[in-house]
Amino acid sequence: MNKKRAIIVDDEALARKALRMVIDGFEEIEIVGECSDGFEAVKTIKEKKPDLVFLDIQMPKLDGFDVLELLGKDAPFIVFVTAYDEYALQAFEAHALDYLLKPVKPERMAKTLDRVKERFPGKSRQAVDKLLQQHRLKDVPHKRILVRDQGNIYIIPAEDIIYIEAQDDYVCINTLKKSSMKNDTLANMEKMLDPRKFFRIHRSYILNIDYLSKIEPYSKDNRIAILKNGKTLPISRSGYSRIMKLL
Amino acid sequence: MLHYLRSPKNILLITVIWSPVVICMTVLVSSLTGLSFSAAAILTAPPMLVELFFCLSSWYLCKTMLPEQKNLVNIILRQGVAALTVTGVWLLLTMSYSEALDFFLNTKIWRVRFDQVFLLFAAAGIFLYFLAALIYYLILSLEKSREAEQQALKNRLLASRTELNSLKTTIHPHFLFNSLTALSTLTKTSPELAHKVCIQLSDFLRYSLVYARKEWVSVKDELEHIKSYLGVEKIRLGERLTLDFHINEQAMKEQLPPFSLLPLVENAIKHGFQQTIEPGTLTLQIEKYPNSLLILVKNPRDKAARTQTSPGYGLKALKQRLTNAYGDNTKLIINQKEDNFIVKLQIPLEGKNE
Repeated sequence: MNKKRAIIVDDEALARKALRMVIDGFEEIEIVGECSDGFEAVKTIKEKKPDLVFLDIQMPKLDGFDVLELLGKDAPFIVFVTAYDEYALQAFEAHALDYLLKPVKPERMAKTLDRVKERFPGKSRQAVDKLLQQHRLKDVPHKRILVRDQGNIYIIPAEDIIYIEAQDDYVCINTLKKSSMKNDTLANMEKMLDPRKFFRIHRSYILNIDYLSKIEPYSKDNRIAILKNGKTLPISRSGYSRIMKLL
Repeated sequence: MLHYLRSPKNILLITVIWSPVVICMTVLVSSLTGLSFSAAAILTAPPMLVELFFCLSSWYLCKTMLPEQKNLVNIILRQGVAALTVTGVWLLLTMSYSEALDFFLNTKIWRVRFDQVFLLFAAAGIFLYFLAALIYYLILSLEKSREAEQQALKNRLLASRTELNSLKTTIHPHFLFNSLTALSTLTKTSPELAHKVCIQLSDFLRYSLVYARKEWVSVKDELEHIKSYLGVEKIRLGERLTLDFHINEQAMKEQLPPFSLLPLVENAIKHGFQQTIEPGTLTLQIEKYPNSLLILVKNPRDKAARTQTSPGYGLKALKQRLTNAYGDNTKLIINQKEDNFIVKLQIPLEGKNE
């Protein structure tokens, strides 16, 4: 029989061990990795490409939802694990996603593994996407943006962002230090960031108003924004009226 | 009274009660005047129907004069006046009715018959009025006691809910379930440690249950409480948590409200240690000054943490409880630095709000 390869992600060593002890009772699952934080989880999942991830929701710095966001399309089948989190439980129920409650019962695990077999390889994919989309609109504005760039994960504080540019399926997030690509839409970014600071000045640009130096006319209808670092960005007519409404 | 009349069952009940009264009156009238039963009924039944409505409407009068609001003599006097007035009006109506009978039937006997039974009617009117009033007062007092019972029940429910809520704020479900998860592992891997954690956890829970009812506890008791809490957290966090306690021996006997220390260390764990992967030290310092007690909790802070560490609900609730206990003499200072977080709590040693 082909064994399913699984990874356990939990920041508490004893919780990982507890889960491992339960999983050891099931022959069809082979644990190929244990991760103690979100960074490690994203890296390990990308490297080892497991069939299945037991993902704890509450973790420092990067929680389960952040890990999912960073994995994007690389996310394998996810089984959420949580001790007690009313918000998360509601979200799982709402999207008919399977989850395990800590401490995990072997009978409950058996049920989950049955479901994994039924739904393999990824019927729950859409549900997870919806859950994530909904989760990202919670607690807005976000104070940080997560970016995965090659093997590295960056946490960009919102106040460091100068402007964001749309590029095909990606957005390019520009800070003083560097610019990073994120697989997301400008519309999503606009929803997540503080609307008092971040303005959609153009179809392809969101600007942090803190970095705006001045606005100059460019042609009859168009204007350009001159940023504090000297860079210029186009401003559309609707973008201009959006800024003027606030200033 | 109207709400009683809305149900057909009650209307039937009133009819059943009233019918014998009407029949009795008719028999009395018939024996007094020598009229046949049916003739007596013509004279008696319609006025008795009117009397029923007079009696029913006295409900509203009774409701405005409750024994617990006014004194009894006052009520009896007023009800007496009401009885006389109502009965007077009723007699007048009945008299008009007997005259109307004479007028329409072209006879001269009905009014004479009315005069014959006038005294009986007057006595019956007053008696029935008082009887109705008595019944209404009974119903009202029953309603009132039922309401009081319901209120008491509601209060009990509210009290237990408040107790449950206060328990919830002292024992976080998240903490409990995570500890049990850790414990489930320890029972298999290291029973000795599991045993220790079980004792710490039960000490913690017992304190939460028992001490919640006390008004004042000693610093020593509070310290034991947070030690059992931190003991369990240490098992979960492992190397990530180091404890550093500096407690002034003289402060141990001082009194403070229960659960004054727990929110401080909980806050440190939640916003400090659970937000970072790096190991760190939790510092607890308690100093005794001539007039005050100073409690300081310090924990590392990770700048990239998801939640920007603003003082949580726990600290706000603590501040509120201390204000209730001491008035404005307590100080809770929250100092957020680049890489650590310090909470200072100063409470007076005298001048409790008792």
